[in-house]
Amino acid sequence: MDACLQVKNISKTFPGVKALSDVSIDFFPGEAHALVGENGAGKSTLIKIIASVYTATEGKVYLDGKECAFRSPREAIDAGISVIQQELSIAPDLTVAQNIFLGCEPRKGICLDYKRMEQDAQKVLDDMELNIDVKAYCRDLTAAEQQMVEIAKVVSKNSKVVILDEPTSSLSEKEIESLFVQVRRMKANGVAVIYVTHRMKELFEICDRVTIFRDGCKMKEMMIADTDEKEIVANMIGRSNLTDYYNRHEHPIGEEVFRVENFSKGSVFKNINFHLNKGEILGFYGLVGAGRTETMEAIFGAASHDSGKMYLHGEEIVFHKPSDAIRKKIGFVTEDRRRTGLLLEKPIYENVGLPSLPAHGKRGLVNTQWEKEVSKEYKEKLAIKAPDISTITANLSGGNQQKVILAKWLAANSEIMILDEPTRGIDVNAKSEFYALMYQFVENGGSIIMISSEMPEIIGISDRVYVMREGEISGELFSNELSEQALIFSASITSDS
Amino acid sequence: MKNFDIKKAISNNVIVVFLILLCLFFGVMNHNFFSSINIMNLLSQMCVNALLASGLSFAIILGGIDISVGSQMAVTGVVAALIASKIGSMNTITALLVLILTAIVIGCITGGIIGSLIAYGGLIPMICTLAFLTMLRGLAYIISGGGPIYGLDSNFGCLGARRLIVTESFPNGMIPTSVIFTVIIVCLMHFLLSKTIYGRHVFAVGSNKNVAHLAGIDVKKVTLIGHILCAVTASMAGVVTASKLQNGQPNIGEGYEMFAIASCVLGGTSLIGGRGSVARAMFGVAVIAVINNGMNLLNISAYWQKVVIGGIIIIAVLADTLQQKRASKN
Amino acid sequence: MKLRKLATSAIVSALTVVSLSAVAFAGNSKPLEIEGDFSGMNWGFIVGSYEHVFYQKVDEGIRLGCTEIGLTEDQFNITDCNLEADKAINAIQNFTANKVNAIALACNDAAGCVPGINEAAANGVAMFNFDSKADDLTNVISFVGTDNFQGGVLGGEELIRLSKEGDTVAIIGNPESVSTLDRENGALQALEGSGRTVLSGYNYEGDANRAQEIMETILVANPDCAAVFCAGDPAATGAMAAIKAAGSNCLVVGFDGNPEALEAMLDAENGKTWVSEIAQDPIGIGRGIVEQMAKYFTTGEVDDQVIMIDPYIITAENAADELAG
Repeated sequence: MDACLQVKNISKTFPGVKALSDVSIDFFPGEAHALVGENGAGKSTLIKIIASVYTATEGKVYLDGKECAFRSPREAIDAGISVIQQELSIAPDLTVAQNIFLGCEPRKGICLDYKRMEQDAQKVLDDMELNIDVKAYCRDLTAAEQQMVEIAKVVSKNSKVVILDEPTSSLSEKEIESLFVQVRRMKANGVAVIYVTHRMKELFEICDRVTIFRDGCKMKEMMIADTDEKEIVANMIGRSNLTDYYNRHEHPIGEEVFRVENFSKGSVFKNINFHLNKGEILGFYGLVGAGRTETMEAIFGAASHDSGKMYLHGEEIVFHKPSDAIRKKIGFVTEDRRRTGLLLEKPIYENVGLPSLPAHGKRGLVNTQWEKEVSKEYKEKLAIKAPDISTITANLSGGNQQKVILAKWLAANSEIMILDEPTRGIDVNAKSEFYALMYQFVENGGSIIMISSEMPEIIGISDRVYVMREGEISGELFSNELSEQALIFSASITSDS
Repeated sequence: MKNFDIKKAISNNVIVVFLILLCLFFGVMNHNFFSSINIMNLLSQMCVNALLASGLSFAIILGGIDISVGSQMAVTGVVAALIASKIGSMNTITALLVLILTAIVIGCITGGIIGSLIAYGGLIPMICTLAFLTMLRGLAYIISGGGPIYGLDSNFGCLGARRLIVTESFPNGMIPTSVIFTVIIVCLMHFLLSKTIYGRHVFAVGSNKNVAHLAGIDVKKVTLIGHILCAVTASMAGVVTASKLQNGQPNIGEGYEMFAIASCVLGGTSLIGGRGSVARAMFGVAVIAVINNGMNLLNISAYWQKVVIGGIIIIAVLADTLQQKRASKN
Repeated sequence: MKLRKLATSAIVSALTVVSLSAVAFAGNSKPLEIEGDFSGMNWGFIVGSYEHVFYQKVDEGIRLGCTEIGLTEDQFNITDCNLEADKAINAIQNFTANKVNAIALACNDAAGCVPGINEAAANGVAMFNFDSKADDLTNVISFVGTDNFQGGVLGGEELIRLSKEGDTVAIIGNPESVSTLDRENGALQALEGSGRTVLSGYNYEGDANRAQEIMETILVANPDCAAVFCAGDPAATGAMAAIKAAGSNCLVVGFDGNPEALEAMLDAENGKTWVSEIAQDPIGIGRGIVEQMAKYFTTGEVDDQVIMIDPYIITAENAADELAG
């Protein structure tokens, strides 16, 4: 059997980062090929290169033996390469039929041929044995039905290669089953399916072949039938010199400062129980969508929760809004610097001072002197690289932006710091510097809750780790028990497997 | 000023340069332009727009807008005139109290409702204030009974029609009270925006609601207060106008919101929020006032005046867009 | 802008109550005395805009006239068209659909309303026109209105009376509406060859504050401006405020004959500035059109196809009578 899609010696370099190096894979028709690896291992980059969202720095992509030189994702789609994104790209205000033929609507003269569009859509859905009304508006469909519409869209184009990027992240068990029916149907029709997932169970259920990525390299390619979960996990992990990189040093850990009991919010998170000790770096590991960020937002008072109690230094507390938490000296370094972390168009000092203005102002006036002094102080202490404290934060590098956010909460005298993916998107040196600052903080009596999806980071610097899966805490691991294997098992393997 | 970069100074202060050039142009074209009477007139003609723009700056920096300010003017002017007509004869102090208290009360009510609907009801500012633009205009007609409310005590003019400092060349007084009042209010608004914690919170909310929320700022309250401030200044513009005309006109202020918005944008206020200054908006106010005044002085046809004002607004918005493009490049 | 005006038309009833309860200001017209059977009648009226005191008065005149000939409230219906032709045509179509016998309207857009008039006439509706004349009167049975141009001529003549040869006089107009433009042109014609320097071409946009700013500016360049003719009472209100603030001796001639104008002329202080007013008779127009409609439906004839109610001059001498009605 000949490969229908080949990637040969693909490398991709982003400024400062080598995202992929020398990857070659063959994808065969009628086969589901899984791509697995940690976050940042290079799977998404490869998919984007195949779909022509990115251009490879080196190497080539061949479709049916012919070199692909697509200038846009549109051309890739026309040539038969379709991607079904993790986040659905359905237009909610169009009907099912209109969505299926979006961008390639049948025409009659200059008018759209709605009748034919609906007939053709019906035929596609009938072939897929789906019972969805072609005239229904997509906003009225369930997430799973919308995904089926996406698949129908792909099927209608007779795509040769279909990429499914974490397709099950928003589906229930039952819905996943009907997705697999369609995947099997595509396979039967000779489509090459590329399946990106974090979930081991799915991999064994639907895929025929697996390629494991680590640090931008292809580690191993195996037939699913010849391997097991342990072997796959073992290939995903395995880094040396972790401790040096994280510059780990022991620090005293005191008694409990913060405790959360039975925190719940619908299906977002359920029965969250954990405690944080003084001087501790407490890791929260889990897959994307496990509910870690949502839990922390609710704790911080930035989002609502249904039930549960919190205790600070043994006293019960309630945070209705973030300012309540800030007053109790809790800081929250969010996941998305640009969206929730910084006022990008404002200078460093305005960002650093922001949460603490009421505490330092007199008679409603901004204490500019304090604001500038404290900003200078932390610019020195955290070694923020910027011409001066009036520099607009948008002009700083990711690592320095992250330091500004940290400075903001240090200036607010935070004793407990919640860090959500604190080192995402910053380079290796900046990460190392940031870890050192975290140690400094806990050594001075602070405590840290750190959400991270990067296993080495979690293992490298956490004193204790909670693992979350599907909105619940699925494990608590102490530093001596921490291993990538243990984390993956806790985070991704459902109890019945 | 060892590294005074004149090019940068000009590009950062395009509006000031533009204003100076305009003044020079009109000064050359008509010798009366720089006469002390005309300067005083210019200042008094700026008052209404200056008051509107000073409050509107808050709404716009918050990332919203208030297009109902013209109608708010009319409602407040009519109510103040109605109250004054019920009181009958009054002294200056009473008249001042009637005018200013009416402005504050009506402004707080309309701004409170508009602000609550936007902040707590989640309405889009443009749509919400569009509704109020029509609703308040209707109310102004209902309150006034369709026509102007007239026959007020001459002291009702204390905030708009009167001029202080009588000199030989100014037998009727030199400085209009409206100018003094406006300068006080505008300075207060500028101080509020640039020096207080509340002002800083306005910028924070305008540049990024999420960041502001997570920094412990009560985004909704800040938004509500911003709209109240906007409505109160609009109401003040309303009583200044009513006082100046010494009657309450229900049709006053139609289309004034556009000039106020244009003034803010000319002064560098970003329509997507987060950036702006009351003081700089005043340059925008001055540009528009100078163009109006200058063209009337030159007796340029009314049709052409409309074309020119429209052109200036285009230039203003274009300048805003270009500036943002430049900012995003950095 | 349009939305707002829609909203104001919704408050018509409120306005009517207010205007009816206000001081009786009845203009010059007399109650109608026409005998006839109007039991099967259903008439529609379209005035310019309820935001103008003038049209509120026309509305009052129509109501008075209709009541005087014995029509009940549900036999006539009055709406406004926001001074726009397309709104007027919509209103005509609505009335036609409601099977009215006759429609009378103000054609603020002289040409724009004609298709609507012709269409309704073709459907058998008797069409009448008042205040602003349609371009084409073929299908109009009768028109009753003020001669705005003639009013402008009177205004110009007042400016001449109030100034000397060699003086400067000004006109504050609003070129956006045909009626105010006619007034400005009438005044310009009267002033031609009078030896006065005339400043014109200003636009107060119906806004007293704009008029105030314009007058202020006029006085800067022409401090000796002797008199100003304002094409509407809001303009005169603004001009008076500017003149008083500047301490100028410029005299104001207003247009409309609104109550505030009469009050101002009678006031000891304001009367020194606002000395003359060109008045229309809006109630007379309202009554006049009803009169022609009543005659048409009783005798089959009207007095004339075009009936002009001449504007007239009010000064302090007759203002009190005018106010008393």
